[in-house]
This record gives sequence, C-alpha cells and structure tokens, in this order.
Amino acid sequence: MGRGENMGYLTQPGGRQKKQQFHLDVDVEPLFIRFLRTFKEILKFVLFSYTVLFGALLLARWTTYFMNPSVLGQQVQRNTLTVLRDPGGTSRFLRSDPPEPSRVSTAPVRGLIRPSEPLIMAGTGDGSSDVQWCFSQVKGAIDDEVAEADVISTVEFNHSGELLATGDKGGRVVIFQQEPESKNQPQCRGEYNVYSTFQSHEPEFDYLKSLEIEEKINKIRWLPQKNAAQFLLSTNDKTIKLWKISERDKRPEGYNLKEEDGRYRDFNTVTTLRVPVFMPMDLMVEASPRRVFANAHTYHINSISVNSDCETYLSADDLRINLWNLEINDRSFNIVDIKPANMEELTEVITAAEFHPNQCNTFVYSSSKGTIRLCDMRAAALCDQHTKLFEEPEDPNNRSFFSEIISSISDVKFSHSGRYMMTRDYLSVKVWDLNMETRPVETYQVHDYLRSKLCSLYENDCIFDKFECCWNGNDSVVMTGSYNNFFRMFDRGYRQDVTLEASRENSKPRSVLKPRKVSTGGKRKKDEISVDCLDFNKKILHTAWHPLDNIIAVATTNNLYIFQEKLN
Amino acid sequence: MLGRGVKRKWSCLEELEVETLPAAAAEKEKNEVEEEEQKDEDGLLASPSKSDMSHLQQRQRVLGLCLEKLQRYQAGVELSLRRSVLLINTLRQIQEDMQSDGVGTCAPEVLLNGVHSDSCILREDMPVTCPGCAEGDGGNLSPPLSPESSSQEATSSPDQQKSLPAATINAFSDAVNAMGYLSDLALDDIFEDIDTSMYETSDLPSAWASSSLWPVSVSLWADEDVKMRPPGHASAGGLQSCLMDLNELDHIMEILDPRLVLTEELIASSHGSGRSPSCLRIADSELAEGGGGSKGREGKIRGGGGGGGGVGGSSLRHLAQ
Repeated sequence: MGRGENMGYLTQPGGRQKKQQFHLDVDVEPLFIRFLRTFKEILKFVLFSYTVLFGALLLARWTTYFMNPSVLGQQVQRNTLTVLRDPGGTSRFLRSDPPEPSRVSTAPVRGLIRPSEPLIMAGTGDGSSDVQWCFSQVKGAIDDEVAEADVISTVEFNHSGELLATGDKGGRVVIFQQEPESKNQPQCRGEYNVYSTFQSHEPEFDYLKSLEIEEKINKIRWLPQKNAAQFLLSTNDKTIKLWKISERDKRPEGYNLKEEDGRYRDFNTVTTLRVPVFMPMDLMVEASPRRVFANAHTYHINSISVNSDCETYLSADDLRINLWNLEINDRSFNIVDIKPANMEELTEVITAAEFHPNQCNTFVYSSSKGTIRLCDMRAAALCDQHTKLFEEPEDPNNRSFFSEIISSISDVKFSHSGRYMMTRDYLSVKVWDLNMETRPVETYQVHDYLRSKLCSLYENDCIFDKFECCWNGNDSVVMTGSYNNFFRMFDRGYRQDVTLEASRENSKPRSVLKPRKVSTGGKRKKDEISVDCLDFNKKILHTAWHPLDNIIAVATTNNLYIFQEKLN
Repeated sequence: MLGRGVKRKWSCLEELEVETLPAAAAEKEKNEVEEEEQKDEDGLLASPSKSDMSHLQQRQRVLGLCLEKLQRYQAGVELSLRRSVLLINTLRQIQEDMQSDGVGTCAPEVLLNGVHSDSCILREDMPVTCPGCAEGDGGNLSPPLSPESSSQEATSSPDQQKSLPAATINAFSDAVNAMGYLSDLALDDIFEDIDTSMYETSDLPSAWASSSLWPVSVSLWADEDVKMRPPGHASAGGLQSCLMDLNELDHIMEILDPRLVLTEELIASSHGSGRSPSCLRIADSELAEGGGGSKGREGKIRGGGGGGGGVGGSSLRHLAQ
C-alpha cells in the first residue's frame, strides 16, 4: 500500500485493531519481524512471571527477617513491633528458654542483656561453643604458703558488675573496681583494681559456750544502688553487718577559725572573713558499718539474700531462717524453723536459702537431704509448711552409704529471669523449673569420675565440701567449681560443657584457656589428667559471673582469678 | 598417757592413687588380714559372695570412719551441725543395714566373726573396740568410743555367740544417741585419760542409754529451748546425778591432771591472740596427726588440739560457777 494507508493505521485508535490489521498481513511480513513479535510476547510473559516471583520472595523474606532473633538483639527498638507482628514467635521470645538448636539464625550474637529487657533472648553467643576465655588478672599472694587468713571464702559481683567483692577467712572484705574502658584498647574490658579493703568481722569468743566465733566471711550480698554510695551485707557465722562504701573526693578548705592542718587560729588575728569552699582531693573510699544485726542465730549462718523489695533480707542458719528489715537491727522475724522438739530426731538441716529475684514474697531453701522447699510468705507468718517441694527420687542403682551425703545441696541460685533455679550437690548441678517439682529439667554431671572414689573422699573430708554455682547474665550458661583448680561451664542451649583450669601456668596476659579433660578410663590420652593425679586440696568453691558481661571471677584457695571473653 | 593404738599412715594422695575397689581397704595390711578373714569365712559358710564381703568391709570401714569423725572434736570452734547430721545419718544407715543383715540370711557366726575380725582390723586404725579385743589388750587399745558402749559390750560378751549382733546394734544405737550433737564429745575427752572402770557406775550408762543428752548439751550449747525440757523426762534424776558426776569429774581431773592446768594457760594466752594454738592437745598424738593429716583443711589442725582445749574450757566454766 501507499503511505496513506500507513498513516491511516497511525491515526486509528485501538491497539487491537491495529494488531488485527497487522495480522491480516501476516503472510506478507518478513520472518524476522514475526520472530521479534513473538519474542516480545515471551519477554512480556517472563517479565510478568519475574515480577510475581520477586514479589513473593520479598514477602517471604520479610516475614522471616523478623523471625531472626539475632536481628532482634541488635535492633532493640524494633522489639515490640516484632512481638506483636508474629504471634507464633511471641511465645518463644517471651519465654527465657535456651534456644532450640534447630533455629534459623546462623551467627549467634555475643549479646549483652540490659536488665531492662528481660523478655528478649539475645542469642546464646555466651555459649562455650563460641566463647573463648582468656586470662585477665590474678589477685593474691603468689607463694605457695597459704596463710589461713587469706583463704577466700566468698566472691560476689554487684548489680552493675563494676564492683567485685571478696571475703576471706580473716574477716576482711576486699572490693575491686573495674577501670573504665580505655580508648586505646576498645577491645579489652577494664581491669579490676583494688577499690577498698576493710575488716568486716573480728573473731569473737562466746563466753557462754566457751566457743570461738570465727570471723570468716560466709557470704557477701550487694544491695541495689540507690544513691552515690554502695551498700553490701556481709556475714560471718553469727553476725550480719551492713556496710556503706562511699567515695570522698572533695574536702572543704578555707575555714576562718581553723588552719589547714586543723589547729585553731587565734581569733584576734582574723581580719577578713571568707566562705569555705570544696576543693578536690585524692579519692578516698570509706567503708563504715551502718547496721549490725547480731544475736539472732543460734547456729551458723550459711546464707543471706536481699529481697527484691530492697527493704528486707533473709538470713538462714542450719535450722532457722530469719527475715530482717534493713533499717531495723534489733528485731527480726523467724519465718522458717525446722528444729525438732527433740534434737535426737534431727535428720535434716538447712543448707542455703534465697529470695526470688522478682517476687518479693517467694523464697526457697535447700536441705542436706537434697530437697528444696519453696515458700510463700503470704501464706502464713511461719513458713514451715512449704508451698512447693522439689525433690528428685533417688536412683536405686547409685545407692551407697554416701548417697545422702552427696545429695546434700550446697548452693541454690535463682536464674535472673526467675523461672528456673539451680542447685549444686556434690557431684552434679541441677536446673529446676519452678513449675515442676518432680524432677529437675536439666542435670549436669560436674565430676562423675569421683563416684568411685567416694570412700576416699569421705576419709579426707572432701565429701563435705560445699561448692557454689552461678548463672551468667542471660541464664544460658551455668558455672561451678571442682577440684584441682578446675571449673566447669555448662551451656544449656548448645548442650556443651567445658572444663577450664585456674592456675599460674596459664597466667600470661590474654592467653586463651585451654579446655582440660579428666581421663576416666584406663587409657590416658595426651594432655588429659587422670583421676588419681587430681589435687584435692586445690578446690574452687566460689565463682561469680559478671551480670552483664562475659567476665568471671574464680576463687582458688587464696587467689582470685579474673577471666574475660576473648575479643578479636 | 594412753596410746590410741597403732598409728595409721595418712596420705590423701596415697589413698587416692591406689586403684582399688571402693570397698577394698587402701592399706596392704588391711588387705592381708581381710584375705585371711575371707579364708576363714569360706570354711564357715557355704558360699559368701565376694560382693557381700566387700560390702561388709566397706560398711565396717565407713562405720569406723564415721565414728572417728564424730569423735574428733574441735574445742573452741563449734562443729558444723550439717556435718554432724550427715555423719549421724550415715551411721544410722549403716545400723539399719546391719540390722537388715542380721535379720537376713547371714548366719550369726559369720556376722560375729566378720564383725570381730573387722573390729580387730579397725582396732589398728580407729578407736573402736570389740569385746574380745578389749579384754585381750587392755592397755594398748584406744579407749572405747564411749564408756557406756564399752560397758554394754562388756556385759554382752558372755552372750557373744547369740546376741552379739543385737549387742552391736544396741551399741550402735547407744553410740548414735551418745554421739548426739557434739556435746558429749567433750565429755569423752574427759574420760579418755582415766581408767573407766572407776567410773562405770550404773548411772552413767543407763542415763545415757535411756534418755537424751540434751540437758547436758545445754551447758555447752546454751540453747534456751532445751532448758525448758519438761521435768517429766525419764530418769531425769539419773541425769541430774549424771551431770553432777561430770562436774565432779571435771574438778577431779583438774586437780589431778597437771596437763589440764597447762591447757588452761594455753587457752588464756589464746584469748589474747584470738586464735587457739594448734597444739593444745598434748594427750593424743594420733588424733593430732590425723587432724594434721587432712591436708588443706587448716581449720582441722585445731582438731588435734581441740580436745584438750575443750577440757580446759569446761574446767574454766566450772571454776566460774
């Protein structure tokens, strides 16, 4: 056709018609044009399908993106949004469970939990699968001659982790303070240096019974910080004291009637008046006893625990538990009394007690028979009737003459979340869910190779050793001590455990601790230590974990080791 | 000064390095004697199984250790109640085990011989007597674990063949009652140096056997609740006389025994220093050694010296009254 025909095509509206007219001439079209046309159709289809696919992927990725807890941990401000958006995932994150291994996330986060976010699990980067521990500091005398008074008897971090308090057999309390992180070494957390030392308890003599009262500090507990000063409770066998540790870095200068050294001036020489001003001085840390809670316990105090209401605390001895008000030191309430009328019927003593971290009316106490009783102070004034009784039935296969002694619980600790509690008996660590009384949810064997040596350990009295245990900041790892200066960590999420040693040989700065192993069978591999070579005089009874960070304090007989997580 | 029998070599590492069954004794002489004993056993009974014998051996060993630990008393420092309770519970468990064994298929002769021989073995190590040995080696033996149990065993020795299991059981229950919670341990120390035959009156063992020792414990434990014990308690009169006897004995001991005067001086000096010296105990070298032998428990070093200090302390108290 001519040009007019073409123009007619252009001016006519409707693509369809245009196409039809084109198709009428399909026989005339060259093959190339036909090919291009089909290619255009194919491309359209492909574009459409890709769009659909991309959109679907976006949608899927979006939803899983918010399921990823590692993202959650890092992007704190989106937490509430996430929880609301994914009802299926909400329950998982509100529970402070250890995560199941089949999770989507790849890189566990070395998360730090701030106390204001108890709901969120920031991953289990603290697990021993990832964390390598390296030596940081050691405190105490180097020589092997252990002075009796230097034996460390308790270790405790305060609520922020900045201060670390230790008590020893000589009645002294030494407080270490963490240096602020320096700009030069951002990867290295601050060192702990001595902040204050004071004599908390003195040896006393009970003239009525002709018995000496040891000044050994049994427990130290920090109070949550309310003002610039720090408060801690320290106790020996009979007396509890509340100490105030305050800093002073200014002093008044410029008195009118006094010289700088304190001598009084002759007021005839005073010609002008001036106002005294506060001038900076060297930092001085003062510790003063604010309260002394005495004469309330007939038996040895083994535990103290501050209530979450920060007004009261309990003190437990072998047969009784008393409730004190921090302000009132001449009266206490007796809330548990298991002393039988006839002492011959005594078969059980209280070994540890602790308040619930969140509920101010709940506390637990453990006994020498391996039972834990949870009591509610709202139920009655005297909580002899327990609310819950946690007891695991004895394994009949392992029954021996020492069954009762090794089942005696030496320490009980609530998790930070308050859902779980951990107990330490001689050979194992058990994690209990407060909702289940019949058996623990997790049991970790600390040094099961000692089960065949119980008779020898009974002979040398080691079977009566009281080991303590502790949780890490987000309740994913538990730690306890053992013999030969070994201490063990159990990761609850990854089901892994590691044995480390606190010794002078590994004391090079920032040297990574090598996991140790005790060989139980006949064949001893290299680097393993056999059970018979363990030194039972070197025992780690007291350990503490920084509440927010991966820093641990481990007390051997007279030295305090501080280990940190290895940061790259 | 009465010896406590043959000294036992003590070394924690030595004990643990020996690869033995938990029931088997760690020391060779024990092993030898036990082997002999096993041969004897085979002659008597049809087939005592090895596990049974090792169970018995372990039980005896644990029993001996238990009694030794309960006897080891640190004056000047209160004993841990938890430790005492655990030891006594173990003792009760052994007692029940023995009772069930006695009721069970074991022939009394086996038990007799077993107990007899075991006691002889233990005699070398621990201050536990058996009737036969007590008569044989009067002077060499360590004093009985408690005077009343020795008297009980002595009285029951004529009936050894039939009633020794029962007698030992009674002795154990008496021991359990007698051990109590630390109070009477001091009293043992008073008695250990003197010839118990002088003081074996009917009052003491009956008082101790039938009633509790808690009124006695009051003087050491100062527990007000116990003082309120109703006077209707059985043989309270016997207890009172028992108490008075003990007071008199204290006085007598103080006068007769110059070592007590020495311990008093040491205690007086220890008040100044605030720590009890580690060698208060003069009488018993074995206990001091045993106390010193448990390494790493420096507090226990006072255990050796504790007994003498306890005596001195109680004497001081009576002086003050």
